[in-house]
Amino acid sequence: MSLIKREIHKALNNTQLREAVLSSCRRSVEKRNLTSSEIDDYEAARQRAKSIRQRSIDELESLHADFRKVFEAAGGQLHYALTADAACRIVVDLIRKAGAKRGVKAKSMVTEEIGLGKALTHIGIDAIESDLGEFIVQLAGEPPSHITAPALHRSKESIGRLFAEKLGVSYTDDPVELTGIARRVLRERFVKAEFGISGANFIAADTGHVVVVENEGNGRLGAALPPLFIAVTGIEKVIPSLHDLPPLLRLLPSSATGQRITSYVNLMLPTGREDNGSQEFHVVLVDNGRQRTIEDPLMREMLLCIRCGACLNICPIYRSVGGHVYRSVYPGPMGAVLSNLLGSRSEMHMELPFLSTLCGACRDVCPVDIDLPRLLLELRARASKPVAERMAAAGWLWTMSSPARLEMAGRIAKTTGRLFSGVLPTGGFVESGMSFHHQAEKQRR
Amino acid sequence: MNMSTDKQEEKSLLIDEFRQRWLEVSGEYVPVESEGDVSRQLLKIIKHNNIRSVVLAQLPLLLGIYDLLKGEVEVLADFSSDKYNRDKTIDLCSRAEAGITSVDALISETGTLAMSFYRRGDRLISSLPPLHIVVVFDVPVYRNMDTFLCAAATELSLSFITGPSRTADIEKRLVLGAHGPRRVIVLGPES
Repeated sequence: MSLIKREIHKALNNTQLREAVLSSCRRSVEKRNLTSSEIDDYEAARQRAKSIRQRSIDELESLHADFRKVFEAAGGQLHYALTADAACRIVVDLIRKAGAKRGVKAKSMVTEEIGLGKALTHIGIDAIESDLGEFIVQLAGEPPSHITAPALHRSKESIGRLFAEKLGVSYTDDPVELTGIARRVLRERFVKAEFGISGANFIAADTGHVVVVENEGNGRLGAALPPLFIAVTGIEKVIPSLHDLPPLLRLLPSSATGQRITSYVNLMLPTGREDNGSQEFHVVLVDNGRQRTIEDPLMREMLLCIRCGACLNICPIYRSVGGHVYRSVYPGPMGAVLSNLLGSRSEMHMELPFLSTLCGACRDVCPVDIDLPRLLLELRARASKPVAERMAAAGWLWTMSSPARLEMAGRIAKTTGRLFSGVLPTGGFVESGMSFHHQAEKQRR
Repeated sequence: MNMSTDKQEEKSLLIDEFRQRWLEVSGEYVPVESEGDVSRQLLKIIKHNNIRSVVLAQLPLLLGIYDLLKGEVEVLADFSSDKYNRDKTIDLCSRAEAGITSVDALISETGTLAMSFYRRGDRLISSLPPLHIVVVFDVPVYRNMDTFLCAAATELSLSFITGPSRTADIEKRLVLGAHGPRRVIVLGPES
């Protein structure tokens, strides 16, 4: 029996897990249905959001240039990272240069994707997760099981036991008290934090704002309190204008948590930071396979995703087994696709597109109308290609996963005039991958 | 004459909508009759909630009530002077039981406060104390975020605040006051 099948059986036999996941997903879907039914002409709103995201992807390079201009003029520093390793290195270097040791992190799926937590722990930098759900899974030494509700798989009793064991507090399973305990522990850390790290839901090319959508207030504190602030996000998160934000916000919180809007939407600029915010403000844009996905005409649609998690909540497979079975940072339908496009992939993820009934519910709830069943089918077809072809593709991925190897491959490609010809999903992407990498390196110097 | 009555009426409707939405997200609203009524209501809130210490944003409207508050409650910082010390601000805002600010605008559709950060300390005053009191007498009201952004100064950092800080990370149970204020009280116009 394959590893994933064993994981599935394990999850199916875990009644507590299944109840926690199912009831949580059900509540999310109910709330999502309620708020989205309030939106006048939902389908028109969805197509508008989609077209904004489409433009972001189509004009990515020029939007990055625009963003750089205004963001740097406001006193910020922009960094590009071609790979997960490169992104971690940039963040580590910034923290080291500041002589910082202890900091706070807000929720960010991209930092999970690049393995930033591990990279920081490895060199003795203490970055505590401040989002309650992330704080819980970090204490437990587990990965998050949902992209917007990281501790969804845990009961309040198990969280109570975890807090008693790890924080030395007396046991309680009252969510209000548990939240209060986390607030006290983390408030102390916020005030003393030497750096703050967060993700970004969007960055606005015309004004330079970094947009963080959140409910707890940890995003605001992490950006305002420490002298060094670093936002890590994917290259695709740029939007043409700040005026594109409201149409996207009409759908994002509604799809994610069934709220009309979240408690906080923070539009952050580096200016004025000496008064209210951080002294240093950095944005790290992570590629890690996104550029090559943009150049893959059959898969680029996936980059429209705004990470709401609605497709997880509605998916009959996710609802039955939860997120850990996927063994990927991104679970559920979006995760089954994304995990096969980003970073260095393993054989493992090629099985994920088969964790779907192709019922199409994910497509129906997607706020930017991504045709997830089509993408899943395409990936299934690619997974069943002859082994030799897959091996070559795997070699290509190994090449792509390191800047040094990529550079070497580029040199080889220049002398031989071709690289892995015939097995690459799209022609010419190495060329642009190289230029993007060079651009990133040049900008770092 | 007619025009301005229409505008007044439209603003009333927007404020009513704001108030309704704001209450729906667990925000609190205390109507004030006039500008002069602001300090009276403010004192009432402070006494009623046994607030012993406050931090006050740099704000002309609030400066008038500074002396008034001083007799009743420990005013940890008023930020009206030019001496600004970041570490001290963090310390004071961490100790204060309430933070008092204004905002730039109200957004009615979602019950949202729009707050830009050019005043010293505002971000911390509105984030750190467990109670955030917002004086919104005579601020503009916009129907939605789109219309607000068209009129706003976009060279500033901004926060849209919709109710108190919240989380539902434990079994989807809503809990207020995760990292930010547990309560946000708006002192605003009657309608």
